[in-house]
Amino acid sequence: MSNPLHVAFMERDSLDTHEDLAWLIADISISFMDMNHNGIDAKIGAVLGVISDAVGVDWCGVFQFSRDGRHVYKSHASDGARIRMPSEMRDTEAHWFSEKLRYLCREEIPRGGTLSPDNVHERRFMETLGFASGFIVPLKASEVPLGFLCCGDEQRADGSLSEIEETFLGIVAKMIANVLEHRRASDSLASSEEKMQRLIERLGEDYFFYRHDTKGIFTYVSDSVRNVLGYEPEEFLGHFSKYLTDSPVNAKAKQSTWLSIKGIRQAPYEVEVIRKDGKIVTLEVQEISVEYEEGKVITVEGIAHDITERKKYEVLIRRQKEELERMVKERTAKLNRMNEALVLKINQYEEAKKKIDLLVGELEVILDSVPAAIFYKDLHHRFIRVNASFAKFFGRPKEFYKGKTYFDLGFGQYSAEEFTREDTWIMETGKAKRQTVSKVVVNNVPKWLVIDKIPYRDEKGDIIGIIGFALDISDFKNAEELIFSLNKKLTEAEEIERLRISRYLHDTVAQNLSSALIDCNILLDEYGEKFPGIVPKFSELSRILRRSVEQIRHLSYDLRPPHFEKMGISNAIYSFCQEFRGKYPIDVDFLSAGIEDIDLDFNLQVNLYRIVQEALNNVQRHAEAERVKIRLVASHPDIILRIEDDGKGFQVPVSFEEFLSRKCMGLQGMKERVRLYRGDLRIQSRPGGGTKIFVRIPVDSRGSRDTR
Amino acid sequence: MDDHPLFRLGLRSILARDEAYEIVGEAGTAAEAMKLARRYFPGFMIVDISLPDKNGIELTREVLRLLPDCKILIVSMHTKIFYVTEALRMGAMGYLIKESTSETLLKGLDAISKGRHFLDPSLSREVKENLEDTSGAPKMIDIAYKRLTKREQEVMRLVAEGFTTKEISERLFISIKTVDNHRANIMNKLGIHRTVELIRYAARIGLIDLDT
Repeated sequence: MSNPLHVAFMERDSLDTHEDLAWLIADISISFMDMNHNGIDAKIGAVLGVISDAVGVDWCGVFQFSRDGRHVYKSHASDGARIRMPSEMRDTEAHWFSEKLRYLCREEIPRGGTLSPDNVHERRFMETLGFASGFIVPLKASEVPLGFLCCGDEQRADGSLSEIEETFLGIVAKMIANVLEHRRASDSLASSEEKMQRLIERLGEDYFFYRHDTKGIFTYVSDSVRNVLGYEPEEFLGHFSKYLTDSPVNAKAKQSTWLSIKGIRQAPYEVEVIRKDGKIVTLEVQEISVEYEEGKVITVEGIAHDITERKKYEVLIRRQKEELERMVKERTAKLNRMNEALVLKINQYEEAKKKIDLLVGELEVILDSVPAAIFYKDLHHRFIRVNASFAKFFGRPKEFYKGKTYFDLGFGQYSAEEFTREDTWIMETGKAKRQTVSKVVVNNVPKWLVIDKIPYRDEKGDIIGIIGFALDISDFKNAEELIFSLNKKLTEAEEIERLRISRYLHDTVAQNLSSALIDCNILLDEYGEKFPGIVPKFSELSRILRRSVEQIRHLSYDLRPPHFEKMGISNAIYSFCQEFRGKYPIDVDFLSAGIEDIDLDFNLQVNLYRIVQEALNNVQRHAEAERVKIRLVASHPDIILRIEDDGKGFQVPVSFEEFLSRKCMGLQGMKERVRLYRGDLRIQSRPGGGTKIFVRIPVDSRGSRDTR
Repeated sequence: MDDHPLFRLGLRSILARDEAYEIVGEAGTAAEAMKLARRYFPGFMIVDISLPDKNGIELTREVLRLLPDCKILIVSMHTKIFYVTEALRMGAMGYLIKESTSETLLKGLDAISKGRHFLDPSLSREVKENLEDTSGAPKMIDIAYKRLTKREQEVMRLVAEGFTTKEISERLFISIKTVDNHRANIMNKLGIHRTVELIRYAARIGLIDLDT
């Protein structure tokens, strides 16, 4: 690159001013700095010639230091100079010379320091060069010694050169600074260019690179502008505003551009540009101000790329984003509404909960005031809650029972197991178990309970346990028991009385009559022939006696079958049936099954016997039956008695009063007997359709010797 | 043997008429009778059933243990078949009822002296029929059914009443498998193979009423 100063200088014919002179010197200095001597020796020679002419001295030369300032590297002199150059000097001379130069450089030549007598060194130096007078101008750039400019005259030994020297010294330093400054600007521009060049190489074709000067005129644009805007690079070298649309976007763009020119760095900005084909495209530009010094912009470089497509997408994306935002907003609003509704619901719930709590409280009061023991149990047979009656019944505070099971209630293992089994069944089947009468021993006191148990369900209907109601009916039961036992005792007493009468009739009355009968017959035998008159009377007496014995026996047997205890119920009934068959034209078919293995209460046996007796008597008296079927069968936990005839049947009374009024006392008596043993008796009959009597009597497990 | 002196007196008078029989002793209690039996080794004994200390049937057995050839005639007020059969089972040769004694006593003694059994003609037909029936166990008791356990009785009734296995298991709080086991055992014990037979059986013994 050519130095513009040189150019400027070369173009001029002469140097008129000291200033011009100084520029020349500065230029030389710069050349020194560059250490670039190629092709400049001649130029320097010319310059020095001009200087020597201008100053009016015989000789002008420059000495250049090597970079470290130690050696005189080279020297030049104006044309026709006659001085000895260091290369021509003797070694010692050359050494001194360079030392001197260095000294001078170091010592700073005083202003106006011509080769005056008081500057021994300077004078000596000039003398060495062969001059009578002269001056030395150190060439420095930023305090770094570059070399010397010397002007010398063989004749002039006055101070006429002082003025020139002074001017030189003043201007040269300034000029050198200016030149250096300019030089640095060029350098940074060059390096920036270089960097940019590299950058451009890497950029895609969607980008182009440009440079515009501080007026906004493009000074450079990369080839890729062709791709981006359709312009040839040469076509794009106008003022930037020429290519912009008048869109308001560009107002801002312009401003940014101007700010860039002022050295204020701008963020990437958009600009709307008219392509060569007229289409409008949006470019994004990033500009960098190139400064050679802080705040001093020499040019602005920028990079632009087409973001039209991107803009489109951006618009699209923005719309989508807006849509999304709208949706989010809507959704939020909806959520808010829902939230409000929820809050309302929660409030309602809270209110309902308060009411429920109140109800629960009331329920608690109700539960605690009912006489029934009420309990809630979970799936694991644990009590969840019990009421006051429950606690009172089992003798501990309510809280005690929480988490407890039947096994903690103080009744026997057996009962606890039985109840637990029942609960399991209820929870498995979901069926209630109603009105179960159970006898339990609570803390050694026998109690009667009527228990209702139902599955405990949650709101979904799933079974979560058991709810139970137990009513203590011990008092009723005890009263009932008392009535039962009194009734039993009554019938037992009746039986005992019957037995007593029966025995008396059988063993005493009938015996005596039998004895009388024998005597009567003996008398008849012994005296009948002698006194024939008595025969009819005695025969009659004998017949009466005999009939009486039979009647008394039957009466006795009716009152009580003899040796019933030994025969057992089946034999007693069988025996009775056999006699019945013998006496009446009615076929009796009796069958018993499983009865002999049960250790039946004796009084129960008697009562069963009495029922059969009563039933057969009824059949014989009223039914006009041909056949009677009797069945006595053990069917755990009951025994069953059936008496069925094929007789004419009757209208079964429906009430006790009807039994009384129709004189069906026999049937009523049978019912009473069955009731004593908590059994039931059913009569099924209709006129013309026979009669069926069904008796079921529960057999207490203790009453059985069958423990299998 | 009779605890009624008046009646014994009557018997004496009757026996006095036949010279074939000599009265060696009379007693009012079983103990006395045994004492006399040991003293006189009687060939015949007339025994009442109702005695103050022991019943005549037991006395019969004891006497026969002592005197196996002694011929015993029961004279009792009882006409029940139970007494008749028991007396004969214990070894009595004859059974008379008291009111017919005057006519039949000598006839009865004659019969048993010849080694024949004698029963009072006025005893009812059924008693005789029953005695002549030698099959032993009375037919009025069902033998097979008594082999069922209590649980099996329960199950059998429910089956007969038409409950399903599942319903039975729910009612009895037992598993279906257990119900099935019970059923099988019931069938096995009663010697039947089908539910229909089981129902028929139940109806026959009166567990259920088939006609309703």
